[in-house]
Amino acid sequence: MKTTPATTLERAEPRIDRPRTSPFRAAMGCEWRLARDDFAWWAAVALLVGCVAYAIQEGRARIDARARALAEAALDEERRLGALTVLLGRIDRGEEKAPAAPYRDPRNAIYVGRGQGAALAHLPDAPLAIAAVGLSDLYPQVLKVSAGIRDGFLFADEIANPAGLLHGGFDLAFVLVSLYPMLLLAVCYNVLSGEREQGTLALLAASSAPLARVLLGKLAVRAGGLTAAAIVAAWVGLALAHPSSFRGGGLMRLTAFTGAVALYGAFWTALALFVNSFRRDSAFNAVALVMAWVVLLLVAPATINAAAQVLYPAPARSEMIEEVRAASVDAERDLDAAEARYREEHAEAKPAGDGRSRRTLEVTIAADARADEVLARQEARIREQRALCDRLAFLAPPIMFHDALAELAGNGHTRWDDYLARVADFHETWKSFFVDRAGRDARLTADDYAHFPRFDPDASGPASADASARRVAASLASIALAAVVLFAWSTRRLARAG
Amino acid sequence: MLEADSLTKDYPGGVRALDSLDLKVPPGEVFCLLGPNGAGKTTTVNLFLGFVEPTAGRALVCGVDSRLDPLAARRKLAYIPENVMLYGKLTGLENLRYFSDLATGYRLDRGELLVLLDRAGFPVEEADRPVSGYSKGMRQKVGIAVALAKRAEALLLDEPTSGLDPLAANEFARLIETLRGEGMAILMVTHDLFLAQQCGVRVGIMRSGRLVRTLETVATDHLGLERAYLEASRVAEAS
Amino acid sequence: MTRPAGSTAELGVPVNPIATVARKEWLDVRRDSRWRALVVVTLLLMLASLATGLAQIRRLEAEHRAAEQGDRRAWTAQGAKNPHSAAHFGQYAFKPAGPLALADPGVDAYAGNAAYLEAHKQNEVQFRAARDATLAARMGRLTPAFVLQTVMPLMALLLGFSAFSGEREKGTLPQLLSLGVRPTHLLLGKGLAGAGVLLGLLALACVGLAAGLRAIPSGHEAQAGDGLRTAGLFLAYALYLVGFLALALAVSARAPSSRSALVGLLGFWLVNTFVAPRLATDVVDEALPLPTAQAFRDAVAADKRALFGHDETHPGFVAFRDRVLARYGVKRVEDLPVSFRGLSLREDDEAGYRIFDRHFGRLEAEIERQDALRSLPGFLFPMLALQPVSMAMAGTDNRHHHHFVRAAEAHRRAIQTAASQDLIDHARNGDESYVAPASLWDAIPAFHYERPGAAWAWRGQAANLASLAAWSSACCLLAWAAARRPRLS
Repeated sequence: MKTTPATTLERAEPRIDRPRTSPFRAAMGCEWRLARDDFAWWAAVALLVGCVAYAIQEGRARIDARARALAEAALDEERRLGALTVLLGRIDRGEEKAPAAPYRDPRNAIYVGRGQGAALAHLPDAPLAIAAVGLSDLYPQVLKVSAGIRDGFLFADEIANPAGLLHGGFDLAFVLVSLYPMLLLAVCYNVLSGEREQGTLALLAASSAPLARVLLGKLAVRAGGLTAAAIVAAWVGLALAHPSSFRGGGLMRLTAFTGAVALYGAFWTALALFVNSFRRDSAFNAVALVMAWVVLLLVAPATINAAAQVLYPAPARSEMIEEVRAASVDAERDLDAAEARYREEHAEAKPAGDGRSRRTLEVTIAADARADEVLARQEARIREQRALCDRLAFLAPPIMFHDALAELAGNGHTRWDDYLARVADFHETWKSFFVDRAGRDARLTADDYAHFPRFDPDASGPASADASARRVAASLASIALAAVVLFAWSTRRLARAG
Repeated sequence: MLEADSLTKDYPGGVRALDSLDLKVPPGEVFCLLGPNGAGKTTTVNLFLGFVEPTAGRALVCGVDSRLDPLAARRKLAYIPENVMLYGKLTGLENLRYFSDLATGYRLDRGELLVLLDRAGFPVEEADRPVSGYSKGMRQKVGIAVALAKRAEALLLDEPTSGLDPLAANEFARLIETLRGEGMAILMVTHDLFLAQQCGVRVGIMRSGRLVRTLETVATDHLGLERAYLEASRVAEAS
Repeated sequence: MTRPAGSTAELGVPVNPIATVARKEWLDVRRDSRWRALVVVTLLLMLASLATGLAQIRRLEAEHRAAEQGDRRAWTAQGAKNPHSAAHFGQYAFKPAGPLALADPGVDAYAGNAAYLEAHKQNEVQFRAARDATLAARMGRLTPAFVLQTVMPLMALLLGFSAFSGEREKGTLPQLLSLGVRPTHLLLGKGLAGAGVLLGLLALACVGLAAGLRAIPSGHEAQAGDGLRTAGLFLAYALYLVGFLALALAVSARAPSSRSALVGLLGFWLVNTFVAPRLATDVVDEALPLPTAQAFRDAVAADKRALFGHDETHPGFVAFRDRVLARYGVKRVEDLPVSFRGLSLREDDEAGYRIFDRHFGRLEAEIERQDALRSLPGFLFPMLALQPVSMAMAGTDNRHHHHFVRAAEAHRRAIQTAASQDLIDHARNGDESYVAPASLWDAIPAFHYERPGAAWAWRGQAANLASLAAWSSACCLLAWAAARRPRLS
């Protein structure tokens, strides 16, 4: 900018050719100078960065613990199968007599499939799993798929302190969904009321710059700085603590994650601007914004959940127990094999006939068919409940954001649903492998052992990834829409004189 | 009786707000404290109220040391700040009842409270309106009614007329005269030379925490007072 | 207080300054439309939480009854059968939803509700209802406990944050003090009014709870302990809310401005209500880690290898047989007057009980130790002490869950013992075809869970109640100290 001599300045008209600064950029510049010396703003930034770092470290510990549990289970599987193949080899070579009890015989297809041979299934951590616990703490780390009925292994839970599950851990999703907006509100709640209270509003209003533009400039620094700090902290934290977050599609997920954080921040900033546009004092704004936080983050999810529970109550799992037990009673009676299980444990005295194993098998098949039917019915009901929740969730951006984070972390409903469906398929494959052989009275051979079906943890179909991407996109779109509406509305309110 | 005895107050950072003030306001007298901002006038009032503790010396209200027993001292005096503030959600009468209940420990009935408001010059027909619409003058009058209800023996006024229009200020001056007539010892801090001349029996001029000059109002007029004020200020500046 | 000498007016009625202040504060709240709205919204939230909770509990109660009946049907329909085979078929123990879960459903959705009682094996409780809920359900549950734990303290802060600082900013504080009012009387008056609002709402919540309890068609006789448990809830929440109010008053008396008082208090509220419980989860898991399910099951299996089970070549089995033969003074099993199979089953089971007691006992103790550690900082962040008390009084904490687990296991053992005893008494040695008559299944009772009494619940929470009381009194002392010399400028 050219400097004008003071003498001519007094009479000079504003010159047209001088570059004009936008009120937005001027406000940003001024706000940045203020923020630089504002202890409270730096404290908010430091707090957020600290929480993000801690959450990432916690996430790392969680992932490591999961990997350890997985390794433990894999070791157990290896030992079980190893012992069986060794025994099989000894029997084949005639070094040892086959055990009298059919359930100890490594050649007995149905018992090996049901117990000793049971195959592991697990959902591997997605690249961004560190970001959100999501559903992963409620489901067992590893499922031991057996040729028995599905509910027998599906509901084997991981050991956990129920109180810990109830309160949840300190994951990155919690920091971003709950704490981040609170800190945003802490730095933005008095963006207009503060100006009035320190007496600078009159000067601002007297200038020709549109108030909304000036406030947006201020918010861009206050909130934008905080958001940028959160994002940078997350990237740096992930790079240090879990570099594999960036591999295997991780970078794309991370980009979407960054966009989600920015949009969510924009929503809360817009809300702060909106409340300020009512031109009340700072204490009012603070209370109103905290109330909004409570309503959107706590009351809305709780109410939506309560409504869904009342309208579509979750199925009683006890129904399934009852059905399966009734089925097995019937089957046993039909087959005159009421003591199938008894024999299973008490047959050492006499060599077991293959007929007994087959009866056990058929009881299982009958019960399994019934269990599948009940499970399908119950799953359908759960889906209805979830569909209602999903529709209502559009009213509450924090729910959408949380869901998006869980999806991006690979711990959302889409990926887990897909995994459980794959486990169900695998259960069928596994079962038929052994049932076929048991039905033919065939004994398992070393070749069979080498060709046991394996669950492929990474075989998730593209359909699941697409569904997840759509879900994330819908969530982000709804948050963006809410932010835009609030910004537009606030701008209109601020444009009115007041 | 209000009595300051070598009253001294230092604020943190070594600022001496009040420097060995000696002052005596007997019952039935109005003592006006004049002086520029920062001369120590409000500090003097706060010391009598026991809101701040003196660094040295004593502030006595009817013989009670405000530092040793601030509650007993406060019970003997009434205080009217620059702006009497009232609770916006309550009516004038409810405000008066609240303050008088707390001041005296006795419940006065509606009639008695209205009498007090009337004596304070308050338009009693306004007594049942919420105070959010009251003018400053009306609020000051509620303050006087509280002082009356309390039957205080001493009255502290901190710039009570600043911001009042001349008519209201004049009315206020007459009310103070009435209170003096009841035998109250009145210490009034003000910037208003005219008010000081009109109400004061004696006028003290303060400068930098010291009482630099005391005049009897009967011995001077408004102009004389102004001259003395400017002189005292210049002397202080020169020293 | 004496009136000045020379008073001409007759003395009025003496008034208490604390009551005067409280009355005026109450008037302020009543005339403020924002407060009216806040109270109405809170009451609506409580009502909604009670209504949905009631619907939930009635459904769970009906499901529970149906499940019990269904399981009984399956058990009694077994027909003539070898008793040990029936023991393998087993029963299910279903955990009933206690009526006070209406106040705080606690860990119920995360602890499972059905235990399979089968031969030789203590099973973990299955079916965590939370698995069937949505992700969003874990963000918050609409329960009276939620309203009382998170929304009501916010209300306490709003009641208190400007009590002194607001008067100071308005200019009424010096006026009030100039009257000769003791600042602590101001504190007590304001505290009384605020506590009146809070405890009034709390009492309404308890009344609503009591009404809700009457509307639950419980198959179990209404326990006299429910009253004592509700009293425990009231006490804990009253300490919590009064503590928050006192804290707000203390901060208000000393904070430089209402705004900073509000921001500081909201910060504490956020940390106490949301951050501390989650941090506690992680810290506790790292300090006192639980075994994985795999490790736990492996450890049980390793110990069980010492048992002979049905393995007649196991050295333990041989030794036991020789002992029994010696005791009866016979040479061969066939000469025993009682069923050796029955005896060996009972022997094996009893050895198993010791193993399960050890492992499950250790796991339960570890979980309860975690809970104790979790609530340790409760005297700083009262939420950590309040939540366990709330859940314990409602009968929905881990300790109550473990009580259920032990009751279920005791019933499993009763089934095993009855089945083995029938074998011992009636089966003949060498005859594998023995079956018990169907009437035996009727003679073995169904599982009936008796909730522990209120005194038991109270005893378990002595430490947490002490923490809460300590925090609350510390806040009150703080308020007292701060209000003795309130900030004036």
